[in-house]
Amino acid sequence: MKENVYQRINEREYYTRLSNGLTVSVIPKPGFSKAYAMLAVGYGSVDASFECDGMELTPPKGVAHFLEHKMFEQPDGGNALQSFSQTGASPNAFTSKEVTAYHFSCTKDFGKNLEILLDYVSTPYFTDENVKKEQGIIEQEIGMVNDRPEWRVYENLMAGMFPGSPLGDSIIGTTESINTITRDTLFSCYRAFYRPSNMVLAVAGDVSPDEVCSAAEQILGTTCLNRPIRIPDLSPKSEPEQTIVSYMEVPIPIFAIGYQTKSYLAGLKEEIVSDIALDMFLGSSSKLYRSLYEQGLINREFEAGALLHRGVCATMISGESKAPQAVREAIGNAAQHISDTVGERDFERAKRAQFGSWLKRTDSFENLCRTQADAYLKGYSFLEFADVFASVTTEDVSEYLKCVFAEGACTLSQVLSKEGNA
Amino acid sequence: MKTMECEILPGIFLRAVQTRRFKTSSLAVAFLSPLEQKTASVHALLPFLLRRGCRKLPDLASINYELDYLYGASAEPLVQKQGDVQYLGFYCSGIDDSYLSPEKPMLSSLLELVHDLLLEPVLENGCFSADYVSGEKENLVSAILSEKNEKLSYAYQRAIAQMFPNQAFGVSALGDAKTARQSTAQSAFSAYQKLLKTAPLTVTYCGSMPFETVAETVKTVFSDFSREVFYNADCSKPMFITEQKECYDVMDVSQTVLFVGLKAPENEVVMKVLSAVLGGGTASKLFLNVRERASLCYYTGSVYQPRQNTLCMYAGVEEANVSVACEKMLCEFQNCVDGNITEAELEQAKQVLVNQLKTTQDTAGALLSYWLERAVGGDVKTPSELAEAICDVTREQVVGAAHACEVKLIYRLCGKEAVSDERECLPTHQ
Repeated sequence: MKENVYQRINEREYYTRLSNGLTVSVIPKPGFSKAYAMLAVGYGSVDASFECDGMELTPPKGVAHFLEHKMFEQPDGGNALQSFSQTGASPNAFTSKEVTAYHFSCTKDFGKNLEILLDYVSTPYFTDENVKKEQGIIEQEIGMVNDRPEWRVYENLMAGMFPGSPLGDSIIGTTESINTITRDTLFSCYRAFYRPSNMVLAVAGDVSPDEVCSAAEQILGTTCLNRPIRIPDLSPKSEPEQTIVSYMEVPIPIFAIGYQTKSYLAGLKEEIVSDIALDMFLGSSSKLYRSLYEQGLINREFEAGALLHRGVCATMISGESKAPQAVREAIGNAAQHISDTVGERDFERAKRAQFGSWLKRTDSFENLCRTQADAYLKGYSFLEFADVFASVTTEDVSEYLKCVFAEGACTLSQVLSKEGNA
Repeated sequence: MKTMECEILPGIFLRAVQTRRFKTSSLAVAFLSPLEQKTASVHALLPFLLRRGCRKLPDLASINYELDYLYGASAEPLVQKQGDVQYLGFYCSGIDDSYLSPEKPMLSSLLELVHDLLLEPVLENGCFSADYVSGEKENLVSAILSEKNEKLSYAYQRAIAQMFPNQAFGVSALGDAKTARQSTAQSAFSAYQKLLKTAPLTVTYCGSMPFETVAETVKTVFSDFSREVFYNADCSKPMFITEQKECYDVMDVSQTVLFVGLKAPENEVVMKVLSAVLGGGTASKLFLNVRERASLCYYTGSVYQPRQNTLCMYAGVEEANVSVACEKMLCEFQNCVDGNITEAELEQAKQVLVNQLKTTQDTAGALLSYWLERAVGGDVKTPSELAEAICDVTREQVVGAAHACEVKLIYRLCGKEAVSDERECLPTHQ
């Protein structure tokens, strides 16, 4: 294994790509009793169409998430969740737009827990009966998230920003779509994506990197299959919507504003530049934030971030406001003078703040493994961030802001009260 | 990992955990005050108001700018409750000095900032700024009303309120919107002055500095703030409703949140194990039976609160299935009372708790929260000591605790179409 040393942030990493194609990253944490492992699969809701055994498939929406739920069940009638419980480990899983990840944290028997993780993710067991049972559970999950205004405002925003693109589809699917999923659908998707060459195993803890690798080779095998063939077009198929409104019982309207552009940077640098740039333009020390806050147009829930998906950049600004439209206008007006935002002193301030925030992330095993797994699936290493921060210039930030706010298409999603509180 | 505590100055209590495990040090500085319906909101307003500006950094932007320069350090308003005690202050975190070369130690910078925020607010004619009060009052009202957006935590809060009517235990940490709207610059300022005179200040620190250094820094920074008399912060005995009650709130929701509330005996360690057997994770009775076997819900579990002696079981279910879900939850509880707890269930529940506690020691934020919660209530077990005590709990003790529990409440947060005449619909809550 290759040892990478990141002196400035006091981290080390053992990295390798196994003969079966699996990327392994082990971040040693000597002296900690906690250990954490995440097996991330490059498969999410954006992989709506793909090739499997030479055929093009477009399964029902929400299938990646459904598959995540179903992986826990085992052929012997047991469930991986209960196997973990015997050691007191805390397991979970999630599905995002691009990734399905299975993970656990534990304070003893790391080796045994790792085996359980690798074993259940590589043992699909779907029957008509257990698929039917899961439909009931996921319907309740859909009911739960649909009652959350923050979820609704985000889902609407993505749908409005990316009409006709899988980026605009809900990760969880709909009651109708999940009820058309069968065991055959699940097997096809599993075969196409659940291949070691399309996975990353990220581990943090006081554990032996060699043991991690040998467990992964023993359980996942040594055969290396090709990476899945995706049908990659994520761009919107028509003009983005300007405004989308939904009504719920909310005491104060909730909004999300999205700017959609093509990426002009890539990888880690794009992530860092967008964080610094958004901090300068909209962060809690910026002129714009101060003015919006003092006018009572936003409160402390206001935040901005960028989602970067395979060449598409979605910059999102969200919060609560009695007048979301006025917030959008204020941002639009400020965007006309975007070059005034980027001064040297303010750049230094935002860079320091963001560097601190990235460094803090490495304190959490969960964040560390998730960010590293995400990064490797995109083709880079998160731990190199200190060097990349040093290379970012004011020109990078100006270019980003100009590209997003002066040229990007803007969508406003609002959740308003039924009584009409806007 | 070393934990020490002492009274640094009259009414200023420090508890510090020295650990080199994290890149961040964290700090919570809070006044402790009795939680009361009539003062909860005006108290909750104070940290947000004080965060708007102090003499040296008179507005939000200048405070934020200073924190950004400290490598993205944070000083966020802290408003929370434990039982019937309200915490009011600031929660801070910053990169540990060993990773940076700051002009002065991060701990001093953060403590000085918190000192200034707490004790040197921006004043206009000897009172809080009317502009700041009006802005933050509006934000507080929004925050209180927005509690409804998180259905599970809102339903929990409402269920607790029903079990302790007209009592501090039932009051939310932020208070209620109606009282919040009545706050003025004058009422906020007099509440603030009373707090300065009577409320003990608790300082909780987790980071690489040795106890002596932290104690010395707190003493130096807060040397100008000392009081003779202060309130003795401790929880009182909770008084539950006498009769069992069934009630519901109506909201625009598609899924019902169901809570079964129980009065629990005073035995934190054993009750934690009972709660874990019942609904503490994926091997628990509720998860296996209500979710996995019956497919009735996506989430279900139980939550135990030692400082108010409550045990609550919950689930998110379709309204049509509420009765059957409720029966199944009560049946799982009855299984505990009847002693139907296998050795494997007991062992797994203990393992889940021990894992959580060990993990707490390895997570910066979780460790601070652990000690901050224990600033009241007299329980001074470290996470390791608590884990040891949990391992010693027997099946008989768990069954005994289940026997001593009493079902007090069945509560639903449900959609309009679910209205039923048999149970009590609660008046609109604002």
